[in-house]
Amino acid sequence: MDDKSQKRALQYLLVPDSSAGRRLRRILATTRARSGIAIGTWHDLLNRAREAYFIPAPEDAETQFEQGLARVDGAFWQESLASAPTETVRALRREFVEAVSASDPETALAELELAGLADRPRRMMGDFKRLYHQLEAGLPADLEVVRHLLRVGSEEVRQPLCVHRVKELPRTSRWQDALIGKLNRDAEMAGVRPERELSRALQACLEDRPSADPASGLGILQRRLFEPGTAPAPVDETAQWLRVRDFYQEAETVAGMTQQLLAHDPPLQPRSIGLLVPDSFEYSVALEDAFRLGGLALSGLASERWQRDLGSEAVFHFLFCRQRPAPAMALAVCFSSRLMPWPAEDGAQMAQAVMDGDYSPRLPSRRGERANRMRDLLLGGDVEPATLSQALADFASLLNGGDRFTAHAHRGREAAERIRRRLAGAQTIEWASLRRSVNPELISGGASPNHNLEGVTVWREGEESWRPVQHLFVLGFTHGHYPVRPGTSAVFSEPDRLAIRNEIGLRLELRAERQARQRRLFRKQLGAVSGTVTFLVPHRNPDGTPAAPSDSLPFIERLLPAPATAPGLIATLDSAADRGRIRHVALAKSCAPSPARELYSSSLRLGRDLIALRTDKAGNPRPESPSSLETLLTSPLAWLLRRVQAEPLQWSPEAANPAVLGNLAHGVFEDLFAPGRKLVADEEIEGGVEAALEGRIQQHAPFFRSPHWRVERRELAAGAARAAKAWRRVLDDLGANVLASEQWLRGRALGISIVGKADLILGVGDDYALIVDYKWSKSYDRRIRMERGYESQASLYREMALTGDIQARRAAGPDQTGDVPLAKRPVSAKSVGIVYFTMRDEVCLSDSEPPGPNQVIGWHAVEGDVAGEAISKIRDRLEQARNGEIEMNHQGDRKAFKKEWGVTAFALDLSPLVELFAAEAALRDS
Amino acid sequence: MTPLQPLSIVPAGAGSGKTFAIQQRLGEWVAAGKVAPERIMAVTYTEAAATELRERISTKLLELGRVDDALRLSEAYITTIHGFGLRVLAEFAFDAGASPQPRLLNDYEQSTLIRRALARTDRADTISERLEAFGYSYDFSNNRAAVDIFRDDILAAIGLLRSIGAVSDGETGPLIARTAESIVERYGKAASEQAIRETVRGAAAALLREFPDSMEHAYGASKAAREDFIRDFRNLTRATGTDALRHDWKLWQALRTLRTSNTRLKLPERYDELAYRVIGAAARLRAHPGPLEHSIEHVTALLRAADEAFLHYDDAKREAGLVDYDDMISMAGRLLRTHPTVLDTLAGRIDCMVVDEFQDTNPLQFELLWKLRDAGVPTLIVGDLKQAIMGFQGADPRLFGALIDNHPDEASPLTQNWRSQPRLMRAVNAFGRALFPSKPEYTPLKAQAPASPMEPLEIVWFRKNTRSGGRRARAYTIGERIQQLLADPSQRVIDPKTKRPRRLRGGDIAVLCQTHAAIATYATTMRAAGLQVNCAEDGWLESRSVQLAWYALSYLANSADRHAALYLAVTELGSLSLEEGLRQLMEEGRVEDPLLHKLDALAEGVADRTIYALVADTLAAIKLFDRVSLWPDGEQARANLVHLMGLAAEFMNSNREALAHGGYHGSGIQTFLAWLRAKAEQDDRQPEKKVLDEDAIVLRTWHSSKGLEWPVVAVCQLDHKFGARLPELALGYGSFGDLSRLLEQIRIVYWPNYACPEQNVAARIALRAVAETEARRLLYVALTRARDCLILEWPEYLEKQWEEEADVLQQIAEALVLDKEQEAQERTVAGDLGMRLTQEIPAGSSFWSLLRNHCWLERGNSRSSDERDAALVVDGEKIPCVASEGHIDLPEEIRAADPEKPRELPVTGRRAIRPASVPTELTPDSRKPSEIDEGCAATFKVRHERYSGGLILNLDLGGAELGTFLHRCFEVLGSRTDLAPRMPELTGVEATPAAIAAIGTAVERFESWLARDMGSREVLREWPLLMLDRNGSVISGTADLIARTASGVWVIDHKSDNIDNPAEAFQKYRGQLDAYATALTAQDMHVLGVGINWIRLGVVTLRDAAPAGRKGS
Ligand code: SF4
Repeated sequence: MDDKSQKRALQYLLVPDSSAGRRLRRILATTRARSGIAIGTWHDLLNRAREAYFIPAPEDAETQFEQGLARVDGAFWQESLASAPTETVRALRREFVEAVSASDPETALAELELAGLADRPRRMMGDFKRLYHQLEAGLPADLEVVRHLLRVGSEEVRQPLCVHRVKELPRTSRWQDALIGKLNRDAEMAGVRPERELSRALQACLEDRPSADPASGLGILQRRLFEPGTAPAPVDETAQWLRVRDFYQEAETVAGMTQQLLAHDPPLQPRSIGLLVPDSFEYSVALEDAFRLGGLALSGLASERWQRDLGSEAVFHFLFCRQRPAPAMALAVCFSSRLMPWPAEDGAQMAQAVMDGDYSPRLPSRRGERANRMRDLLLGGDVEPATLSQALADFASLLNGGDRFTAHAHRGREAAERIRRRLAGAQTIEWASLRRSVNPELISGGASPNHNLEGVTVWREGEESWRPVQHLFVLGFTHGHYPVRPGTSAVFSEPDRLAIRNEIGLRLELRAERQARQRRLFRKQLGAVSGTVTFLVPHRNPDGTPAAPSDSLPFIERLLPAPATAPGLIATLDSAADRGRIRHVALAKSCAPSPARELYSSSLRLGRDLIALRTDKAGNPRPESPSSLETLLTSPLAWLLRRVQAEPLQWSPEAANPAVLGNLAHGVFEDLFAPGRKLVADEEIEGGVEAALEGRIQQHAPFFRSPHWRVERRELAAGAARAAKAWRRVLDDLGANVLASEQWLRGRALGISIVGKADLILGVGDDYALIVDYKWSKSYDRRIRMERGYESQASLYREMALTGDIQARRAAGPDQTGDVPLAKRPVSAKSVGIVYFTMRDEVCLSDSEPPGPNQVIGWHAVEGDVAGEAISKIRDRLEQARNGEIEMNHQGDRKAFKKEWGVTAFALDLSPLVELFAAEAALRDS
Repeated sequence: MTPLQPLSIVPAGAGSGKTFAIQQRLGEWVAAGKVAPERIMAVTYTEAAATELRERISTKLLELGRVDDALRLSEAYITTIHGFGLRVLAEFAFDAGASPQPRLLNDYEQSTLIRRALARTDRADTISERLEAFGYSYDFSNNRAAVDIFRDDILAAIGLLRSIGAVSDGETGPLIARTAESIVERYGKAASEQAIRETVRGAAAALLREFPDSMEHAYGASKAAREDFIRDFRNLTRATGTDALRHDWKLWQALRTLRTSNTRLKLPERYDELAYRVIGAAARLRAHPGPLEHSIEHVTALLRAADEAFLHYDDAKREAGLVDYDDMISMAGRLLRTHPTVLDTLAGRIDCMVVDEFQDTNPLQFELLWKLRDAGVPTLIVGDLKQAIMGFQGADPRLFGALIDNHPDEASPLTQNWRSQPRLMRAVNAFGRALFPSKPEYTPLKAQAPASPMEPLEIVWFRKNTRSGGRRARAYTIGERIQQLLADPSQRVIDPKTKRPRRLRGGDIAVLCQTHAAIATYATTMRAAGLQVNCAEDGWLESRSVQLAWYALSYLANSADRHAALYLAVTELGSLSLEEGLRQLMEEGRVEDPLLHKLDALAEGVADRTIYALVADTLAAIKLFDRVSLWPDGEQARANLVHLMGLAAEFMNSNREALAHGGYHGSGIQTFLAWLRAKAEQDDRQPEKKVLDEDAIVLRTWHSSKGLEWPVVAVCQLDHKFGARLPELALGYGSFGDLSRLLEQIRIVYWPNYACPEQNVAARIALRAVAETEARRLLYVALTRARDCLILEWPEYLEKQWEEEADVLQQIAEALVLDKEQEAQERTVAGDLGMRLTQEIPAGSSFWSLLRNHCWLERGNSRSSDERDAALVVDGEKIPCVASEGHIDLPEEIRAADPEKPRELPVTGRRAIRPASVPTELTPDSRKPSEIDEGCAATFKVRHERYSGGLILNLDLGGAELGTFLHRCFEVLGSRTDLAPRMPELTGVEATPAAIAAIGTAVERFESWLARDMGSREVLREWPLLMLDRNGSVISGTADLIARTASGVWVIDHKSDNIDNPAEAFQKYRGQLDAYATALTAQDMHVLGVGINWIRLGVVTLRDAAPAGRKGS
C-alpha cells in the first residue's frame, strides 16, 4: 500500500450479477491476496455509496409511491389500480423507475416536452410527469438514494469509491451513469485513480472469450450463434442435442452422462462438468435427486426452498371458520395446524373427526384452559365486526408454535392484527376482502446455494457463468428459454419506446435490446465451455402435454445442420437409430424386469379368533352390526380392516353425496313418523319435512345451509316430501301404528350377538309387526338382490327382535329405559315382516304380502327367502373368522356379486388392499 | 412494389402443405420488404401448430440468409389465438382497466368459481324446484344426479353466451326474447288448452266407465301385455283422477300408445273403440299450448340464470384479478370494440395477419380477428372447411363458409398434396368428391409425394356383427393384418424424416377409432395378440406408483393412519406379508417396517414444507423412482410420478381463495390428496410414457388424428353412429351478409324435446343435417391421414340397415314436401311417420352409411379371403384395392391370453445411473472470514488494554442488530464525531441522545487510545480483503479497522459481545483475524498484530504478529 495522505478509496469493480462477482473474486484472489477492492452488483454499490456518504436509507418509499399514484387524478392507471392494486403498483413502479432513470438526473421528468409523441405514449408519459411532481419528496427507494447522492458534496465522503465497469455489463441507466460518474469524480478529487490492473482484470473477466476450437461445432456456436452470414459446417462431436421425455429424465440422463464422462476421462474432475439450468425449483429437485443417486456432488445448485406461511394460513382459515357455516375442511386445517395449543397428534385426530362428519370434535381430556378456549373459538361464528375482532385477538393470543414454529406464530399474530385494524370501525364484515388481505403465500426459507470446489458446476440460466467448464449440459432447452423471453410492458409498447427515445431523448430499453442482451448472455455461457456441449430438450411437460424446443434451435440448425441421414439435429434417446449417434450416453445393462411382489393369496390364516378381536369390558366379544355383517359377506378382508381400525383416513370437501342425503332423509322420516304420534296429515308433510330437515342439517350437515347448496337442498326436501306422502299412504293403507323408530335392537343370530338400530318398527293390528328399513335409493337393484336371497339386513333385525334380547334403550337418550313396545308383543317368525322402503321411487319391498285387508300401492312382495343365501354365506364366514381365517376376494368379484347376487359390493372399495390381494378369478370356479 | 392484398383466402385440403405455403409467403414478403418480421401476426388454434409455425417461419428467414429478420421475429405475434388475446390484454391492461399481470385460472378453479356463481342465482328456481317436470332425472349411465345434469345445462348455456360475448343483462334480454319467439314460430298454431284437455279426459273417463278394471287380469297373457295394461290403466286413472293432464305431456303421449287389439291379441271391440277415441284425442297434444309454454319457460330460465351466474362469476374473477381462458379472447375483443385508439394502435403495429386453421374459429375469435382486418391489416386466411371438426369446442365452421361465400374472388385453393403416395391420392380424391359434392366443391389435389411400394388401399370387410364380441373380432382382425404387414420384409415405407425407404415398423401404423371405449378394446385385443400398442389410457390415480406415493404421503401427513402404514408395509416396497401386517396391527396396534422409518425421518418438515418439496422428499425417501425403474411397466409408472410432481406444483401455485371455493382448504398433504382425487375424477389419463415408441402401434381417436399423419392408417369403427340429440341449444345467425357486424346477427336457437314426436320432426331433420355435415368432415379427416397405405374396416353387415335407412330418409324427404303444401291449413307431418321418425332418426346413421351412399366394394370372383382383384368403386371411379374378410369371432386363445409384457427394461434413463454415495467433505468455494475456524489448539499470548470504563446500554435490540448498530457507530463516529446526532437516522435505530452520547464518548476514547497508545497515523475503516485460503476457498471479508503506524499496521475488529473473559473469547476470532493479517502481509504490509475491541468492556485485546516461521502454515 502506498503511503499517501489522501483518503483511501475503495476500488469498486461493478459486475452484472453475483455469479460474475464470484468468478472475478477468485481470479483476483488467485493471483495474490488483496485489500481495498470491493466486487459487487449495482445494488451493492448503491448501498456502499449510501454508507460512504452518510445517507440514510429512505423510509417507507413504498407507501409514498402508492399514495402518489392514487393522487394523480384521471391517470391512465386509476381503473387498474382500483381493481388490481398489488399488480398495478408493481408494474407501474417498474416502468416509472425506468422512465425516470432514463432522464436527465437534474431535471428528471419535470421539463420533458411531450408534444412530439403520439396520443397514447404522450398520455402515459404525461401522467408519469404528474406522478413525478406528486412524488417530489419521495421517489421510489433507489431513485431517491441516487438523487440524494448526486446532490451531496464530494467532501462529505468518508471513503471514496473508484468504480470500474465494463460497458453494458451491467446495462446502466442514465441515473446510474451519473452516479458512477460522480463517485469517480469525487475519488479523483481525493486524488485516487482507478488501478489499471483491476480495470483490465474486470474487462478480461466479463469479456466474451470463446474457449473452444473455432473450427469445432461448439466453437462455431460460441462465435457465430445469432450472427449473420457464415457458411454452415457439419455438426461434429463437440455439440449434440438430445430429446428426452421430461425434466426429470433430463436430470437422470445428465447424471448418467456425467458419470460416463468421468469414467472415460479419468483426469477429468466433476467441477469441469457444468449444468446450465433454468431457474425453477423443479430442476433443482430433479437434479438433486438424480445426482445424489449417482454419488455426484453439485456445486451452485439453487437450493432455495419455499415454506408455507403457517401463520397467515391459520388466520385465513380461521376466518372461514368464523363465517358460519364453517366448511369442514377449514375446521380440519385449523384443528391440525401446528400453531394450536395442543399436541400435533390431538390436532390430527380432531381434524380427522371433523372430516368424518363430527362437527364439534372433542379434545382429548385435560388439555388445559387454552386448548378449550381455542376449540370454542374455532367452533364459534360472527356476524358483527366487533365480535370477530375480539375473536381474532383471542385467537392470536392463543397461537403457540413451540420453539420450532415461533416465527410462524408471530406472522399469524401480525396477520390477525392486520385484520383487526381493518375491522376497526367497520359496519359489516367483508369476509372475502378480509381474507384477501391475509391470503397465504409461500415464504422464503432463505437457504442459499452451496458452492463448493469439487462438485459438478451448476450455472443458472439468467446469470453469468461463475467458473469455466470443459463439458456443459444445457437443461430445459425449451420455448421461452435460451434466451429467456422478456415480459411485455403494459405502459410503453415497443414503438412507443422508440418514439420516446427519438422524440424526447429518454433511452428506454427496447424489448429487442433486452432479447439481444439475453442472447449475448447465452452465447457467453456457451463461450465458457472448452470441450463439448449437450442440449437436453424435454419432449413433454410434467403433465404429459408436449413442450416446444427453444426458439434458438433454427439458428443453431442453420449453423450446424444435421447430416442428411439423420432425422434431425435432435437425437431421441428412445430411437434405436438415434442412440448410435449420441455420445457419452450412459447405458444400463439390459435385463429383465424384476418380477412384481406377489400380492394375492387365497386366504389368510391369522391364528386367532377374529370375532373375539374386540371385546367389551367383561371380555365378551362385542356384538356385530348387520351392516358389518354385510361387509363380511362381500369382503372378509374389508371387514377385518374395519375391525382393526385400518380404514383409509381421507379428507374430502363436503358434498351432497348419497350418504349425506340418505342420512338426512332418514332423519326427516324419523321425525315425521315417530312413535306415539298421530299419523301425520298429508298437508302437514311439506312443512314437517322442512322443519325436520333444518334440524338435521344443523346437526349433521351444516354446509347444506350455505346458499350454494340451495338447489340440492330443495331437491332433497321435495324428494323427501314426496316419499313421505307415499309412506304416509302406506301406513294409512296398512292401518299401522309406529311402535318405535331408530330403535336399538340387540339379539342373537348366527351364533353371535348382534346389535343395531332399526329404522322403524310398525305394529299392524295386535299381533303383527313390521321391521322397516328406509333406503335413499330406488327399488330396482334391491328387488333383484332380494329375489336372489342376498338381502340380509332387515332379516337380521327381525332375528334380533325375535331372539328377544331387546336392548331397551333408545338412541335418543341412553337413560330412557322404558319397554320397547315390541317386547310386549307375541312374536314369532310369522308375525314379524320386513319392509324396505325405497324413498326415491316410493316402493315397499317386502318378503310377504301386506298384512291386513287393504291393497297397498307400491307394495311388492318378493317370493322366497330374501336373506337365506346371504345368511348362510355369512354363517360360513363367521365360522372362518372364528378360526382366524380370512377368505380373500377374487378378481372379478365386483361383477360377479352384482350379476349373481344382485349385490353392489361397496366393501370392495373400502381399501385398495381388498382388490390388490384378490386371488385370481380362475380359482373361484375350482 | 405492390402492396399486400387486403384479404386472401387459401382453402387448403388435407396434406396440401398449408404451413409450407404460409412460410413461403411470409418469407417472400419479408424478403421483398413488404412486411417487417416483428410486425407479423400469425395465429393458430393449438400450441403445437403455433410452435411449428414459429419454427418454420424462422427457418425460412434463415434460409434466405436473413438472420436479423429471424431475430426480430421474436417480437412478432406468432402464437395461439389465446396467446394473442393474452398479449393484447397484457399490453393494453391499463386501457382495459385490468390487472397488468392477469393470473390465469386453471380449469379446476374455473369450474369451482362458476359453480359458486351458479348457486347465487335464483333465476332458474322455477326449474330447479321441479326438475323432473322439466325432464331431469338421475342418469344411471354416468351416475349423475338430476341437479348436476341441470347444472351442466346452465353451464352449457353460459358457454354459449360467452362464445358470443353476450353477457350482461342489457345484451341478453333481447337475445333471449328472440330465442323464445323462434320457438313459437316453429311450433305452429296452438289450440285451446281447455278444450283439448277436456276431450281427452272425457274419452279416458268413458273408457274407464266401461272398463273400470285393468285389462291385465283378463288379457295379460304375456308379460309384455301385462306390463302394457298395468301402464295403460295407471295412465288412464291419472288422466281422469288427477291434474296430471295439465302438465304431464308424457302422459298425453302415453295415452296415444294405448294397447289395442292386434293379430295375436283380441280385445273387446268396444275397448278398442274407446281406446282409439282416447288416442285420437291425445294426438291433439301436437297443438297443445302447454309444451310450448313449458319449453319457453325452460330455455328462458336457463339463459337468464346463465346470464346472471356469469355476471357473478365475472365479478368474482375481477375481484381476485383472475382471467380465464375465454377472457383472453372476449376481453381483448371488447377492448378493441370499445377503445378505437387501442385498435388503431394495435393495427398500426401489424403489417400482416395470418390465421391458420381458420375453420376452427368461434364467433368471438372471429370478431377479434375481423376487427383487425377492418382496421386495415392485410389478412391471409388459411384453412379447410372439410376438416372443421372442432365444433365440440365451440368452433363454428359456418364462419369460414360465409367468408368464402362472401369473398369468392379472394380465394385461391392449394392444389397439391405432399402427404399421400400417388396411388392413394386417387382414392382420397375420390372420397373427397363423394363426401363434398357441392358448395364449396371439392378441389382435387395433385400428388407430390413419392411413389410407395405399398398397396395404397386395403379393405377388411365383415360379414357379421355379434353383440358379444364383434368389436373384439374386428380389433383382432386389424391386428392380425398389421402383424402380417410387419412380418413382411417387402413392406417398405419412406421414412418421413430421413426421406429414405426402410422397413415398416409398429410406430408407423395408426389405428383410428371413434371412441375411447373402442380404443380400449382394440388395445387389449391387440396386446393379447402380442402386438405393442400405444394409446392414452385412464387409471392414473389408481396406478400402483401413484398409489404408493399416495399412501406414503398419507402416512407422512398422519402417522396414526394405520391403513396407510399397512398398505405400505404389505405392498411392493414393504417387507411384511399381509398376514404379518394384520397380525402386528392386532397385537401391537401398529405396523413396523423399515419403509415407515424412512418416512418418519421426514416428519420434522411436514408442517411447513411446501407440497412440492414434500412430494419430492417422499419419493426420494422411499426410492420410488428407483424401484419403479425395475418394473415391467416402469416407464408408465415413472411418467405417472412425474405427473404427480407436476400436479403438486400446480396445487402449490393455485389461488387459495379459488381452491377454498371448491371446498379445498389448506395447503398441506391431506388437502392436496383430496384435491388430487377431484382432479383425477375430471381427468384420470395416464400421460404418454415415452418420447416415441417406434415399435408400438398408435391408437387414436379420429378427432385427435387431425393434423397428424402416418405411413399406414387403419380407419376403424366406421359402424359408429353420428346423430343429434334433443333438446339442443345452439347458435344461429340472422345473416352472414356483413361479417363486420357478425355478433349482432347471432341468435340462440333452442330445439326442445317435445313429448309429442311430430313436433320434433323438423328439429330432428335440421339437426341431422348438421350432424351429417360434421360427420362427413370427420370422415374426411380420418381418411386423409395415411402416407402409404389406408386400411378400412368395412362393416358390410350394416348393408341391410343402410338400405332401410335410405328408405326412411326418402320417405321423410317426400313427407316434408307434402308438409310444405299443407302448411296453409295446419302443419302435420303424418302421425305415423312422425312416430316412426322418432324411433329411427335419433340414433342417426353410421359413418359407413355415409360412405356407402357413394361407394361399394366390388369383390372379385375368387373365394379366397385375400382378394387382390377387388376394387372400391367410389363415386363411379373404380379404385383397385386389397380386400379380405375379417373374423366374426375372437379365437379362443386370444380370449385367455395375457397382455404382452416387455421382456427387457429400458437401458437408458435412471437405470443407467450407477449408484454411488455423494462425498460428504466438500470444500466451500468461498468463505467469510468469520466462518474460519482453523481448529488449532495452540494459544498465543495476548495483552489487554483498557481505553474506557465500558459501555452500558439500554437499547431494545437483538444481539445481531445491536452489533450492526455499534459497528456502524464506531465506523461513522470514528471519523466524523459531528455526525452523532444523525446516528438514529443513519442506522434506523431509535437510540436516545443519552445513549448516542455514551457511545460517542466510547468511540472518542477508543480513537484517542488508538492514536496515542498505538501511534496510529491513518485508519482504514471497513476495509475489504480478498484472498485464497490453503484449501483454495476464496476468503472475502471486511476488516473493521486497519490502523497504520510508523512501523506497520494493526488489524482490529469491533465486537459487541458481552463477554467475561477476553482472552478466551479472543480464541474464537483468531482465525478471522489471522486471515486478515495474512491478506495484508501478502500485499507486502508489515502486520504488527491483531486485536479485538470489546466495545461493551472498553477493552482491546491485542496479539502480536506470529513469528515469521509459522505464518500462514
Ligand atoms: S495460523 Fe497458527 S494458529 Fe492458525 S492454524 Fe496455523 S498454526 Fe494454528
